[in-house]
Amino acid sequence: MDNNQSIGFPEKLAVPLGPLLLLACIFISPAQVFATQHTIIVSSADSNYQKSLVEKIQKNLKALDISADIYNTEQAIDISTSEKLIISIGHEASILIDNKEPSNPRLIVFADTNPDTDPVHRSKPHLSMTQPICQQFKLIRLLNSKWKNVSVIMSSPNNLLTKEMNSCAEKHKLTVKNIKLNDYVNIIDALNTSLPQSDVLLALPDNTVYNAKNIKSILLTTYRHRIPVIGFSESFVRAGALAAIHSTTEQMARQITEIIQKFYTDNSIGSDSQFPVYFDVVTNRSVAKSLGITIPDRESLTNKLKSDNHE
Amino acid sequence: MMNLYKLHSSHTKLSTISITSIIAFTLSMPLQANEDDLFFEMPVVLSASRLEQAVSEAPIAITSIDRQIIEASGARTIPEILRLVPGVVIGSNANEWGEEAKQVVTYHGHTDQYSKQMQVLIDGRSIYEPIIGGVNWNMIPINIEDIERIEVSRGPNASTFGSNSFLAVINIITRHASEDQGHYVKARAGNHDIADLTYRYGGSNGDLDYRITATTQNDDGLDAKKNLNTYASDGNVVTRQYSNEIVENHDDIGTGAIDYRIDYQINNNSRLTYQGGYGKTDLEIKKNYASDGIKPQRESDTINAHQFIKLENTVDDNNSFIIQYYYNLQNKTDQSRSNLIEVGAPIDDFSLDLDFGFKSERHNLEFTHFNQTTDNLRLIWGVSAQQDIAKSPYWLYDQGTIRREIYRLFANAEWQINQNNLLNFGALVEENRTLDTEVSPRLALIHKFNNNHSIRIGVSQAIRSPFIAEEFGSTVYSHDLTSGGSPIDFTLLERVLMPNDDLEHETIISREIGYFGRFLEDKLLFNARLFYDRIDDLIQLERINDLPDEIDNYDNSAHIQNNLSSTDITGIELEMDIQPNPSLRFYGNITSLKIKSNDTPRTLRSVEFEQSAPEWTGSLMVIKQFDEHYSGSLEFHYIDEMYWMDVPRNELNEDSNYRTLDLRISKSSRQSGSTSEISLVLKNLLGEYSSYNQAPDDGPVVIHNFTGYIEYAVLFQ
Repeated sequence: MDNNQSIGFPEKLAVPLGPLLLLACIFISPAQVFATQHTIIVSSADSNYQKSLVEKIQKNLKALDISADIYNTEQAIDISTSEKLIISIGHEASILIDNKEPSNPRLIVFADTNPDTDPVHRSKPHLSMTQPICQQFKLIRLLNSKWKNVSVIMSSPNNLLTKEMNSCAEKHKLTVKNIKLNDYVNIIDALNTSLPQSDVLLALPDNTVYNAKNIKSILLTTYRHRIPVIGFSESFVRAGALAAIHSTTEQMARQITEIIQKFYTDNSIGSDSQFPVYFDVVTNRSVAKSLGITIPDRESLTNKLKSDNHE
Repeated sequence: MMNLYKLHSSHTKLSTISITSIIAFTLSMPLQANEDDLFFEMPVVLSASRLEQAVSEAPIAITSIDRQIIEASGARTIPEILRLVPGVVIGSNANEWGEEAKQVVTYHGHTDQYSKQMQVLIDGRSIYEPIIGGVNWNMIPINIEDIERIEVSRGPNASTFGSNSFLAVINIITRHASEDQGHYVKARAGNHDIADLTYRYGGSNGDLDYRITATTQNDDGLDAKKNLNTYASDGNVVTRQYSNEIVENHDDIGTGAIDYRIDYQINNNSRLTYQGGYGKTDLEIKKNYASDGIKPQRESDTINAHQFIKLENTVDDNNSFIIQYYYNLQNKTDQSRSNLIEVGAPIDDFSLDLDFGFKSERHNLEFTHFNQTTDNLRLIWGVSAQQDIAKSPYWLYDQGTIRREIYRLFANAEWQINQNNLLNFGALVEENRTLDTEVSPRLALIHKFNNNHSIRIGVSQAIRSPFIAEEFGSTVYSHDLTSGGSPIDFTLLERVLMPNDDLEHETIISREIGYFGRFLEDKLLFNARLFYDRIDDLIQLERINDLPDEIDNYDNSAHIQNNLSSTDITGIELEMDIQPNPSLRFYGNITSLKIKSNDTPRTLRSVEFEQSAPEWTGSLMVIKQFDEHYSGSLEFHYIDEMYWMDVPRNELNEDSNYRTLDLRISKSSRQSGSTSEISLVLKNLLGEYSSYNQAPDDGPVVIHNFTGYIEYAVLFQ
C-alpha cells in the first residue's frame, strides 16, 4: 500500500499526483500534508451529547490541520467527493448516511440503543461508545472478589447476549441471573424478584430498562435491597450506581481523532469493531460506604482494566 | 488496490461484540433513541441525605428491619415487627385503669402503659405525642405495606434527634412513590374477627411520582379468661388457674386511614416530597374486670392527620441540604358520663360529665446541611424550631391551651482519622420555654481491624423533657352540688393531679462497647453491644397528702410528677444475620440486661424499676424460599419474667415468662401483567400467654391465644 492510497485519494489520481506529493512532502510539514485531507462528520441535530463530541473532534482536527465538514441530520449533506472519510455519530446520522449509499470509507460511532438498525451498523466498521461486556465482568471482579451472582435485566429475550454474558461471567467465576423485563409487572417487580438472589446488578445500556422514567425507582429499589449497581455512565454513578467504566466526550473525541489520523496515514481505520480505549472507572464512594463495601480506588481500577486490555 | 470498504467488512468476532450491539441484534422492540438516552444527565437519587450510615461505621448500635423481614413476619401492626429488635419487648395492656387497651413497646424497661422514653419517627417526622408522651401504636396512619425499613437506634441518640431520643429511637422509613407503581390490593381475614383491606395506587407523570394508600383494619382485640384461683385463709393464692371460658374483653378496634406521598424531581439536583395522611380509630373502652364509676364503658374515636413537605437539594458533590416542615394533629374524642355518685342526703346524687379527650398539634420546621468538608471529614448540622399546642379538659383542667416551643441546634461530624479509625462526635443544644438550655453530646470511636471486624467505643448523653401532661398536668373532677335540685353554692373538688414547677428533665449517660463482624464471606453478620447506662431524675407520680391550704381540694391530697428515681442498666445484646444461600436466612438476637435502682432508701418504686425489663430475651426468624412459588417463615420469641411498671406485684402475676411461635407460608404466582401472593399466617402456636402479665384482683387476665389469618395480595398495572 503506497502513500497515496493511505491518504484515501482516488486511485486514478494517485499515479499523476504521486511525484508531486513526494516533492511536497520534502518541502512542507506533515501538518500541511494533512491540510489537504478532508473528513465529513455527521451527527444528530438534537443530541447535546453528540454536539459536544463533534465540537471536541473538530477542535482536535483543527489542531492537526485536518479539515472537516460538519453536518447535522437536518442539513443537506454533500458526499459527492467519494474519497472523503465519513464519520457518522449516532443512530440517526448513520441511518441517514446509509440511505445515501455512499461509496466513501466510513466509521460509525454509536451506542447501539436502536435494535432495528444496529445490526446494519454492526456490519460496517464501527466504534462503540460503551465497553464490551467482558470488561464489565472484569470490573465486577475487581470491585469485590466475594460477589458471585450478577443480575442483568433485559427488555426482551436475547440468546446471543445471554450466551456472551454467560461465557464472560464463567471466565470470571460469576453467575448471571438474567431477568426479562417483559415477564414482570414492572421494573420494580423485576428487581424485587431478582435482587434477593444477587450480589450485584449489572446495568446494560438498554434504554427500555434504564431511562429517565425508571432510573429513580431502580436505584432506590436496589439500594433498599442493599445491592450495588454497576452503571454505564458517569451520570449513573453520580445518581447512585456504585461504579461504571466511563469515557468522557474528550476521550471519545481523542479516539475518533486518532482513527481519522490513522486513516490518513495508512488508509485504515483499524479493527472493524472497536471499543473505547480511553476510559476511566468512576465510583461512588458514598454509596460504597453506606453499603459497607470497601472498593479499590478508581485509579487502580482503571489502570488494572487498561493493563488487562494490553495483556 | 483492495477496496477499503471491503477491508473493513470482515466478520466481527463474537468476543469483540459490544454488549449494546448484541442487544441490538436480537431485540425486536422498535425504539427511536440516540446516545442522549444513555448518557442523559440523571438526577441524584442516592444523595447524602438518603444514604444510610453503614452499620459498621455508625456511632451507635443500629438494627435495621428490612422489607424481607417485615413481609416474612406477616405482621398486622408495627409493634409485632419491633419484637425482632434486640432488647425490645411489647405488651398489650388490659384496660386495668379504664383506659383504652393499647400495644406498648419498650426498650430496656422503665415503662408502664405509656412508653415515653423512646422517640418514634416516620421519615424523620416525630410522632411522639406531645400531651401524654410516647406513641399510641393503634393510631398511626401508616400502612405496613408502604414501609421500606425500620431502623432502631439502640441507645440514646439525642445528639441527632433531640430530647426523648432517650433509650432508643425508632425511625420508620417509607418507600419513594416511584417504587410503588400500579394497583396493589391486599385483603386479610381470620379469627378474632380480623378483617383488613388495603388498596394502593401508584403512578407517575413526568418527573412526578405519586402514591395513595387506603386501608381499613378491624379486629375484636385480645381475649380474656376468668380467674379461678383458690386462696388460703390468709388470702395467699393456693392454686393459680384460669377458666377455659373466654370472656368479653372490651377492646374492639377499627381503624381507617388514607395516606399519600408525592415525589417531584424538580431538576437533577432538587426534589420535593409531600406526604399527608388522615386516620380514624374507633375504640371500645371498658375496664375489663369490674365496673368503674369514673371511667365507665364507652367508645372513643381518635383522628390522626399529618402534612409533611421536604425539599432536598444537592448543591454539589460535597454539599446538600434539606428543608422540611411537618404538622401533626391528634384529636381524641372520649366523652362519657360517670355512674351515679351517691353523696347522701340532703345532697343530691349526681353524675360527672367526663371528657377524656384531647387535641394536640405539632408544627416543626428543620434545616439540615450535609457537608463533605474534606475527604476525611463529613459534617451534618442543622437547626429546628418546634411548637406543640395542647388542649385537654382532663389533663390540663385549668391550664387552657398550652403552647410550648422548642429550638434546637445540632452538629455531628465523622472524622476518618486514618484507614482504621473513625471518630464520630457531635452535640445537640436544645432550649424550650420552661426548661434550661440543655446539651446532649456524643462521642464514638470506631476502630476497624480490617474490612470484616471493627469495635466501637462510645459515650453519649441525652435528656427526656417532660411531656405536657407531666409538666403542666392538672386533673380535677369538680361538680356544683345541689340539694333538692337547687344549688347550694358548694363545689366538690377532687384535685387528682397538680403541676410541679420544679420538675426537671430525665437524663441518661450511656457508655458502650460494640463489635461488628462479617464472617463466611459476608454470609454471617454479627454485632454485639455491651452497655452501661445511668439514668437520673426519672419522673414518677408522687402523692402529696398535705396540700397547702390555698389549694382547694376534697381530701387535701393530690399527685404531682416529680424526679424521684435513678437506675443503672447494664447488659449485652447480640444480633446475628445469617444467609447461607440466597434462599435461606436466619435473623436472631439475644439480650441480657439488669436494671439496678440507685434509690436510697429503696422503695416499692425501686423494685418496679428493677423488674420492668426481662433479664433475658431472644428472637429468631427463619426465612426460606422453597422454590419460585413457595416460601415460608418461622418466628420465635422468648421473653423472661418482667413486670410492667403499672402492674401490681402479687402472686397472680408471677411466672410471666413466655414463648411465642409464628408461622407463615406463602405461595406467589405470576400471570401476564400481574403478580399475586396468598399467605397463611398462624400465630401463638406454643399456646396462650399474657404479654402484660396483669391479673388484677380476681379479674380476668388478657391473653394472646391462637390467631390465624389468610392474606391475599395482588399487584397489577
